[in-house]
Amino acid sequence: MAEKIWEDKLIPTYCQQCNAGCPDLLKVHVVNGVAVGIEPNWDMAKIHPADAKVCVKAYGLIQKNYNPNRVKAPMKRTNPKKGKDEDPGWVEISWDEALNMLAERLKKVREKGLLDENGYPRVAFHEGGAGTSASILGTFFVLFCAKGHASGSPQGIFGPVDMTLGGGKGVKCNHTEHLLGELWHKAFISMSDTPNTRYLLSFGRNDNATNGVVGVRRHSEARARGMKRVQLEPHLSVTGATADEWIPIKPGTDHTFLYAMVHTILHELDWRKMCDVPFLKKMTNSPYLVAPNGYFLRDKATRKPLIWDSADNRAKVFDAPDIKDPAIEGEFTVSGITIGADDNIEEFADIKATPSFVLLIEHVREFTPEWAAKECDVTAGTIRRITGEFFENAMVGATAKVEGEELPLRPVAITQGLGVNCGRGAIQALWTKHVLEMLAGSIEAVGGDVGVVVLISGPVERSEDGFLTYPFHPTKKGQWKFPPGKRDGVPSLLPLCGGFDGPYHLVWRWLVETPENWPKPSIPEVFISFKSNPLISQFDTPMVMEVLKQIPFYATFAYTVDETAWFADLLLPEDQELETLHIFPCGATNERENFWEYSGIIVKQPAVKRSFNTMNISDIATELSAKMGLLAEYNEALNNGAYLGMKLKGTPYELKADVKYTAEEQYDRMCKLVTRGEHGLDWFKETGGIFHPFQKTGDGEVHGGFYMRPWYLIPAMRRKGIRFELPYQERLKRIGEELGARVHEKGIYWWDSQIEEYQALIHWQDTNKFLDQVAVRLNKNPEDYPLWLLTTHAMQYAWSSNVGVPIMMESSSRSVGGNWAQMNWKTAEKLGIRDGDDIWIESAYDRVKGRVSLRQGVRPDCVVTVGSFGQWVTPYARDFNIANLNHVSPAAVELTDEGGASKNHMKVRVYKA
Amino acid sequence: MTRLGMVINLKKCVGCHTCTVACKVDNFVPPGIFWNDVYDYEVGEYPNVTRSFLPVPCQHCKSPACKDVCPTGATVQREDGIVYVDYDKCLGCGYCEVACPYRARRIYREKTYYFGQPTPYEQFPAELRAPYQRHKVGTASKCTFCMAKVDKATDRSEIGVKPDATPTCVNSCIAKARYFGDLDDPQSEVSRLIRERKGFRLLEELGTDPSVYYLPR
Amino acid sequence: MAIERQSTWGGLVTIDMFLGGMGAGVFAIAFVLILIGGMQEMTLMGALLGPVLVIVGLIFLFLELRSPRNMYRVLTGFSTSWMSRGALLQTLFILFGLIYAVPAFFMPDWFLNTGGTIVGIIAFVLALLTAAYHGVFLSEARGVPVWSSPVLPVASFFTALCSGLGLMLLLFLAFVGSYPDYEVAAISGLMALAGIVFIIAELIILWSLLSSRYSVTFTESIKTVNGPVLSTIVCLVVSLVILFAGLWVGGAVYMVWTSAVSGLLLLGSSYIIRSAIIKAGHYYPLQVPMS
Repeated sequence: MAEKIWEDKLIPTYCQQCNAGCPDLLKVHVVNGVAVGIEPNWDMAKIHPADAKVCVKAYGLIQKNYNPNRVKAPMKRTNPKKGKDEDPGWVEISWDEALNMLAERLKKVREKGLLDENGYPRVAFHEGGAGTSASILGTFFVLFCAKGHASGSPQGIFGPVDMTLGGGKGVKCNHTEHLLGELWHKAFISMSDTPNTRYLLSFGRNDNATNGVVGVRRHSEARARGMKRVQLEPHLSVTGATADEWIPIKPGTDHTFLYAMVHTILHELDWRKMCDVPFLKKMTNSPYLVAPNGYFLRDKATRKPLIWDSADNRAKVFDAPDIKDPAIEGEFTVSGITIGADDNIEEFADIKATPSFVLLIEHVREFTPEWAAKECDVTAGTIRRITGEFFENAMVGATAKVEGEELPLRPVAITQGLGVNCGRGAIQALWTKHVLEMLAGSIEAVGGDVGVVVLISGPVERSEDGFLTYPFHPTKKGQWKFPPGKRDGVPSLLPLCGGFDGPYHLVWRWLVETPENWPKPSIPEVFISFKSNPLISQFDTPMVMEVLKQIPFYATFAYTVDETAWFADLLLPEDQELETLHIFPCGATNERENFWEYSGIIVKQPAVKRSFNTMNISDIATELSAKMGLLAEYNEALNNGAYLGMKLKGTPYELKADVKYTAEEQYDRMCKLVTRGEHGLDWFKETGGIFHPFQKTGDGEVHGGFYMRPWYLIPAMRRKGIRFELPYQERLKRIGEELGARVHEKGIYWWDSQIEEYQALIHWQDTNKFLDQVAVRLNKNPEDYPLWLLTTHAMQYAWSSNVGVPIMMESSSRSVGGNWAQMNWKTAEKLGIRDGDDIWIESAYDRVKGRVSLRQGVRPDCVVTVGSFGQWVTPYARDFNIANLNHVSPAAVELTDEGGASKNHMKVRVYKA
Repeated sequence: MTRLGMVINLKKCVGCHTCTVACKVDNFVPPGIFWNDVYDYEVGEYPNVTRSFLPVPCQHCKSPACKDVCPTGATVQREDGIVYVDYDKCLGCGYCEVACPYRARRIYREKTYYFGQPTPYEQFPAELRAPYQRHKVGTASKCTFCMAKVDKATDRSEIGVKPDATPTCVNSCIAKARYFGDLDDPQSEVSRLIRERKGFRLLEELGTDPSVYYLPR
Repeated sequence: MAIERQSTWGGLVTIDMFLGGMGAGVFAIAFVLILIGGMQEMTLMGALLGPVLVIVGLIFLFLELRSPRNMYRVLTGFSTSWMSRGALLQTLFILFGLIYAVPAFFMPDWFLNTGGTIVGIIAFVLALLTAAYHGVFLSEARGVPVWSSPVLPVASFFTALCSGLGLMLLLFLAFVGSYPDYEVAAISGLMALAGIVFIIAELIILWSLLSSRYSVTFTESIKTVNGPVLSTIVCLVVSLVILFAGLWVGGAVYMVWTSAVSGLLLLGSSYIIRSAIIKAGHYYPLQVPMS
């Protein structure tokens, strides 16, 4: 009998498998209850910066949804032993039993005390891979993460939990850029203002693979328009492929190239003509006078830093309204005080002081292109040419009108990938990048380097010294936190990570072996993880496994059984994208290269019926809080705006303390709240969401609990009289000195090389020596490991989360090199390796096997692996035979930078398997 | 006359394969077969290497080499230039697959499923699909310019403009590298792009007269 | 990276064409020798093997097409398709060839009759057409530069004759003992002469194919089968030298060995060149203009 069509619908929803979309607005084509197609939500084409186009990963959602390998019901472990070779003995259980099991465990913890004897939370929670938006957690977020996102409090209604054990978030992101980017220009992520950029210098930033649909669109339009992109990276990525020039720079030397660029502009070119001198004078700390002790010379009465006004020939406080011509060159006789470490005040009378800019010029004198050429394997001529091109394209003096406001037009930008802005060398690379952009005046200018997302530092506010505020962890005597109270030691060791609670790689190692004079962290009693697979995504796989074995109770929201879930006691299968219900604040400057002219609230709704016995995560949260006896607190927190800042309290939509609201009911009320009663969830489900225009030059807005920064920061900074804290890092210098004193008081000396990185003018360092140090510590000869092992990403797997979806592998394996380890033909030839062979990649730490693919577009001294692979449990993915860098990369103090990030590369040797 | 054609701007393409996957999902294309492959290739020797992307759907040639060699007339050319396979007539002899210089065709050789077992999506009844989406083992399989969609256009001007009347690869292209429309209409966007941006075609010397144009990298 | 050469057609199609060509070739040569007279059992065997080989070749084609319904469809599409025309042509050749060859074993003067001769002439013409057909068939693929070359039907024709002659030379080895020397010498001399002509013709054609510069694709495609093409040429040249030497030196014993060796070389070269041309298909090195 012929089938008839009894249903044919297009259901608006969104894909948020990663944070590169914002997210992607789409419609699911459902016929007779079956999802048969994905298409852009054309209704949103005017609102979305790329006509609502949808990423390749979203087209895999149908397969992801119907995947027969999914965890189809809650499961519990029956084999008490945990290990790689221990079959967990999964047994299917009811949701009631599963949630009772978890609730009982959590209740016991509450009875015993939320903190253990060592002051560490007994419960550890991990909210997912890097970039996972909190809203994917639904109201589960309220239980463990935050009382209110806007409040910045990391504590949910359950009380303190440890969020430091995770799968790479915090180290495998652009971590050091997050910290310094926000310190310098509220740029959790630094982006080119692509639609206006003329010249983009990218150090390994893989925009085409990781910046989502809007990023790809902005760059493709810019290419068509004629923007020049120079890509410096050791292997030719999908982004390098679309660049105008590929410079195969030696790994770990990007900062060296940048130092030479700063040298070239300040010592070889006519910087007075080519740099944006008015910007240096008015918008940076270049004119701030520095005393011989390296601290800003300050006015004794007001404690404000001083500037020399050449017009009046005297020093004035930096924000004096009558400053006419701040000097950035020269030497002046001035009196004042300095504020050093631990508020140590020194007084100076009639001393010679220079503007910080003069110190910068001196600082970079030694970094000639000839010196850099040897380090980077790029000719001095190329470095000079690139420097010249960069400043020639800066159009110093030009302006552009945005929303009626006249802004500098400086269409040059520098961007960096996570191999550059993370780990050793990152602070050097980031500082020189920002110094160059400062010199060109392109930081936060139209066409220049603009930021997106603010997660650490909050709205635009002025610090006492006239810079953007930043929440450092205290390092002053009496205020320093020790013991840290967090297993990763962040509050004690990483002052830059204040207000940023992310997991770090070292925590896994410290749970097994603790460094000298460091309080041994205890293994958490309960670990709950969400959408994360640390055994694949975290450094140091053997160590992670060691810890997982020891955790007494581990529950995870599993999509399929994966490597980490293999160690779990409880699997909680949550609804997938096409089945679930969420709402999300979307648009504006939220996440990656997503510059929207609108911001709004969108809805993700069930397009098809559940395929299996799964549950909505918000309903799980409600059920779990009820079972723990925390329902009233849970509803109260929701009323107080703990979820997306939606304060229901005192409105007609307020939740009653003792009622279990379904996710539908919760979201319906929130929808009504944001539309002032006009529209409920049903309306959102029909339309997909609601938007309003976003001001690009405003002060930003708090939206859905998140602070969304404006497109351009300069207007807000002008209004508030704020300067960029560049080039001189007085705060970092002070913090470094304080931190050094603090840790030494505790007998900790193994963090010194990180502390040395806190400097006023950041020193160059040879970053590769740290890799050698690791080899030596492991009793190996560094010379035995001549090749660099690097990682890259395919768009299909950027931000991961779909390795089990066959259509993704089918399409991404069509790329050059497939997803195999990749090597240069010539190197392989010397080693007797042929295309398609299995090879061993061996570091001083461990070795890993996988198939190799030979290419021309890889430096002969490099091996490149594609991230996200190396599975041995995950169905489908376990048959890939792809090597993973994490298996051979130890979590090592030596490789960790001052911000807590580790380099995503390793030295290795390679041989035929 | 209408001659439907596509323009692909190689300067914009990023090799993301969104079109490849969107096409497969929309048209129920079985595992291992691509109606819209994107070649990702390197030219030159290190360090003088360039890497490029080249999407190659069926070129819907005006003089299709595949049609000439078909022994049964299973390859049909419509008035608007669309070339498609009538699965009921196709033998699967493979000559068209061999004869197409663009490798745009594949013989669907055996029934396979992505997960080894059929999902509800793969079981979606054939009679509810467009004829060319009813894949039949032992027949030739290729891009149809999303014929069923193009046929939804009530007016020629809607083709390539209205998403409903535009091929999926064009709709899905995130880089906006693809354009679709009437090559015979000098006013159409495709004609304008070809004219102004030095549009070229692949293997023109073979005399196939393809309807897919490329804009240089 | 390239749009790769075709991998769809391989062994089965090569064998079909090789056997078909050899069948047509051996029949044509046998028919001429029958008309001339001498070594009758051998020439009759050649005439019989012709259609039989084409039948075997077609079996391989069936294997490629998989179902009888498809074969029926192929046979009925002759108005539009060379594949259909070829199938029809070969069917007719098989029919006439068998009618010519089979009765001769029972009625010794059948092939001297007018009826037999007419059937033979028809079969002969069909054999020549079949010999060229495989080239015509491939040259229909305009998109495949190596195939669509106008010399391909001629190449196919001489390849068929070469392989037919190769088979004939091997048959000669089997039958040579039962005939008087003068008959052997005359026939082998004739065959050696024919071989020299065919080989020179084939070499000229191969040279014209290889030296043509139709397009980048053509050149690149040919490059992918450089090895086999070279070995074909070597086989042909060696065979040519041997045949020359045989004619020069003369003598039955010597002729037997030269026949055997050059027969094998001719068969081998024919198979290799057919396989090479099929494999070459087309190869398109990706390279697009940069703006």
